[in-house]
Amino acid sequence: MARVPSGSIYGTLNLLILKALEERALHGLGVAEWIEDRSGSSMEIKEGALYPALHRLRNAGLVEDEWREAPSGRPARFYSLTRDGREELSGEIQRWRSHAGAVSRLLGLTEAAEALRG
Amino acid sequence: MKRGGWVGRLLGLGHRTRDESEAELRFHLEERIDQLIADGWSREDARREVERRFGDFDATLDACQRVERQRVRRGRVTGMFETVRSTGVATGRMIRRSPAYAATVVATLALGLGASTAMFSVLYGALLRPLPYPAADELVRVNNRFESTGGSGPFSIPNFLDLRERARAFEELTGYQNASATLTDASSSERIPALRVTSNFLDALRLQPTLGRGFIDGEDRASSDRTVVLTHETWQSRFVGDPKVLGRTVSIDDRAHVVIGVLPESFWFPGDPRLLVPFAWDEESLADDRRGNRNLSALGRLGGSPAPPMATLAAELTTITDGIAETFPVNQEGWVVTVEPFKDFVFAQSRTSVYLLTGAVGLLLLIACVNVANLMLVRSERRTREVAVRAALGAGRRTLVTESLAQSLTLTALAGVAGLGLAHLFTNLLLTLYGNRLPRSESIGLHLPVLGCAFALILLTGLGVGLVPALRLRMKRLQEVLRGGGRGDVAAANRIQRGLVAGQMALAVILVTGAGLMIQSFRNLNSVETGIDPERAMTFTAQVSPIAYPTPEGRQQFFESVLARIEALPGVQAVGLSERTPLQGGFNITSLPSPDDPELSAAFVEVRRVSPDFFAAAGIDLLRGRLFEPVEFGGGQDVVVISDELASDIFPDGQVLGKRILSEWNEVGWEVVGVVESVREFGVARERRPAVYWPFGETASPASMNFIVRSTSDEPLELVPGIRSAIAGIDPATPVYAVRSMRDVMVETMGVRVFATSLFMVFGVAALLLAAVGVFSVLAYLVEQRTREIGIRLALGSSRTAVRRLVAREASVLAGLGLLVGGAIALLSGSVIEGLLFGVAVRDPMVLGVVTLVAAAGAAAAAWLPARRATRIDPMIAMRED
Repeated sequence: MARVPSGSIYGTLNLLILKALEERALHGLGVAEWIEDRSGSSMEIKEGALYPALHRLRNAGLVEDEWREAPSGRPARFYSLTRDGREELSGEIQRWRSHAGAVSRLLGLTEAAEALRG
Repeated sequence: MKRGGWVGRLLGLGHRTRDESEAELRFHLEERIDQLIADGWSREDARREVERRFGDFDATLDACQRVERQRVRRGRVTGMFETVRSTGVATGRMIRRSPAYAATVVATLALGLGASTAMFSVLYGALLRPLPYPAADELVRVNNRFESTGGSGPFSIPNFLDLRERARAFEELTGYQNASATLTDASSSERIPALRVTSNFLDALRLQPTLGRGFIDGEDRASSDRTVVLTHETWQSRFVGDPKVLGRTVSIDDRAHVVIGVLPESFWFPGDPRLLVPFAWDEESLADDRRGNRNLSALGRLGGSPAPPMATLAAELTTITDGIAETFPVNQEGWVVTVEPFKDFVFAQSRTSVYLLTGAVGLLLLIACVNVANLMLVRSERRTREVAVRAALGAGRRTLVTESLAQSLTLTALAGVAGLGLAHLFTNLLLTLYGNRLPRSESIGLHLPVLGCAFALILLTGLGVGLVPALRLRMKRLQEVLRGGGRGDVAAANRIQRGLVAGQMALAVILVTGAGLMIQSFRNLNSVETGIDPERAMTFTAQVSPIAYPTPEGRQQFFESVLARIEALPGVQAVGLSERTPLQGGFNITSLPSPDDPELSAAFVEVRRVSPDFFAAAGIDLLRGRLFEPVEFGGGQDVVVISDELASDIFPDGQVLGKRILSEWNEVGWEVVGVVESVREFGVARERRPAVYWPFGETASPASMNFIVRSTSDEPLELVPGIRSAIAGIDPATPVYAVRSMRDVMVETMGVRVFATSLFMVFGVAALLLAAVGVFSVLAYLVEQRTREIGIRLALGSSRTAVRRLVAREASVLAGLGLLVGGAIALLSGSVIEGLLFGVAVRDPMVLGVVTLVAAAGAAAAAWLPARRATRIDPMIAMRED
């Protein structure tokens, strides 16, 4: 299965999308709202950027899609995690933790480093 | 390989990516705008804000399409794989989401497939599988027919030999006789099925023993040494497969026979013989006065190709036998030779029932398929909107059809695996219950052709079942669904469903009618007056050794002491013996002329020699005159008891007692002292036969006799141990066999009818259940669909009874249609089953009435739950929906 490059902004976005889909299937707008809810306005992502990312994840077999009716009655494309997607998510979280922990220690941000070691 | 644009278009890929991505992005924008408007933004401001947050729409769409194109490019390489994978995923999702639905589909199909595979394996093993002889198609059974009555009979030995000498059409013409033989060794004595054959028997079948040799010319004469060829099974079971068995001497019917060969394991012959012995014809059995004594069956292998038509051959052979009859006219007039393929002869007994049951199983499978198609249809109707959305977004019809077929094939494949397990189970069950009544039952099993056929069935079923919902995916209609919310087309969908359910009901009615007719026949058979009283009676056969008891006097004495010992046993009310067990038939027949009217005579009169208490033991009633006096036994008396059939055949004026009957071979004749009830000698479903009874005596005491014992208790077989030890007390080497209650004998003579009745019952019930499920699912869906309408009706003051009536009306339309169509088909196709019926017409009003009631009850039961659900609809909730 093709690995989505991590470490770039794409990697971070991918991680966020996978996390958003961890518990339920969402359409693209739903993913956008999930990120918005959790980050306030601290992250400035163009909502349109989600879609190529979602499609790439689909190509990689990490998510699958299905057309369903949204509560409004409009047909929407819902994405959900595949088994591969779930594995990728936990692997990426692990990688993020060690990467961010290392960077935090280097920057002398002991509190953050401790939290990340958790 | 260059794949033109049209392939992509056909698969819906090109359009699909563009349209789907665009629709996806548009959805995002529209929803966002709606949200902002709801928050109080103006439409124009909202649109601008959403576009700002979204970024460049066209660039995003381009990016999306680039990603999709990578997917498509990759898809070209792994296209097949991808299709399989994605439909697999979709199917897996479907099973996970609706396990109850998947389980119902799989169980229904598994039942249908299992039953049909089991039935086909029986059909194949018994009928279609080639007989285990090389070029078996060249084998024909040659027999005789008595023109005036249509009765058939085999050949006498001298006639057979003459025919063999003169007939040119055969490469070999062989004679055989099914018999039983007592095989004795140091430890035990066993009565087993045997085949007496002419010395060219194995040559005619073109079989070589795997061990030793076959019979050689002249070995079928009394002057030759006695030899025996064993079947593989006997070799294994009695001689533990010892290769040194050749040359060993074994005792068969108390005569030493040398084992000269062992047959291949695949050997089989009608009657399932366990050993082959050549005839031992002496001068007496070849004499011309034996030409009327027909007891030799003939089997021919046609030489030269092409084989002549059967009718031509039969006419040729009849010319030969007519020639023989001119020289030796006794008992030859009116007989012609018949020829039929040996295979037809082997299967003749059970052909009708096996075909019929295959038809029944086919119907059952059809019902199961219709049921599943219906389930799938209801399900796809529920998902119409999703499907319509996908179709509108460019998921080609082909993709959707593929998916629908893939799902049904997957489910059918699962059902197929379960069905094969069931088939194995069903086959074993069938063999346990009825194996002894099916020809070649040992070759019945899940053979390769059976599995191939099962596979084809599974494939066909999967395609058939998946096609119905797939065909419903009409693009135009789907667009209407999108626009109009899908209500417009509900009526059309319902029509198909109703059609399917009514069809199912009709199929079930056909099977239930069959079951009803069979049950009624079975009841008639059980209550038929056979002429004997089967309750509390049992029968067995005892065989004396012709070596130990060489004289008729000795045998007579032996049987008399057996009678005396059994009579003395506690629990025995009466015991009698005769050459034949009543109801068991047999060609111990003669023809008797009427002493009153030279024009009258009775043909095929059963001849019985009976012991004093025979009539009491068998429960045959005395109608007029008297039975035999004790003093009349022992020979020398010229009295007979006759059956009332014979009495009315040859004494038209009704004056019977005291008259004398004469025969060709006894000019003095016998005085008729009594008339007894006639017996259905050839089985329950056959007619009563004329019979003549002589007192059992030393004039003819054959080596084996059939006993009939009437018990004082309802379990006559409890007497068996006592009887066995009583006989062993006289001569322990006497085999006692064919031990059965007369009730079992009676059921046995019903033969394949018993089998057919129970299978029809099972199929009828299964079909009705499946049809009821169908009615239920359609009604339940109807109620679900019309919840809103029903809610409004209730809100407007419609009573719950009226609502219930709405559902009931739907149910009665379905059941009524099914009954009409099914009933009509059942009536029209009645001739198929007629041969198996007894005392009941296909148009029997009682049976039709009961079938109607049963089908109506099934439909009513299926309607009950949906009707209840409909009346419990809460108008408020119902109307708030949607």
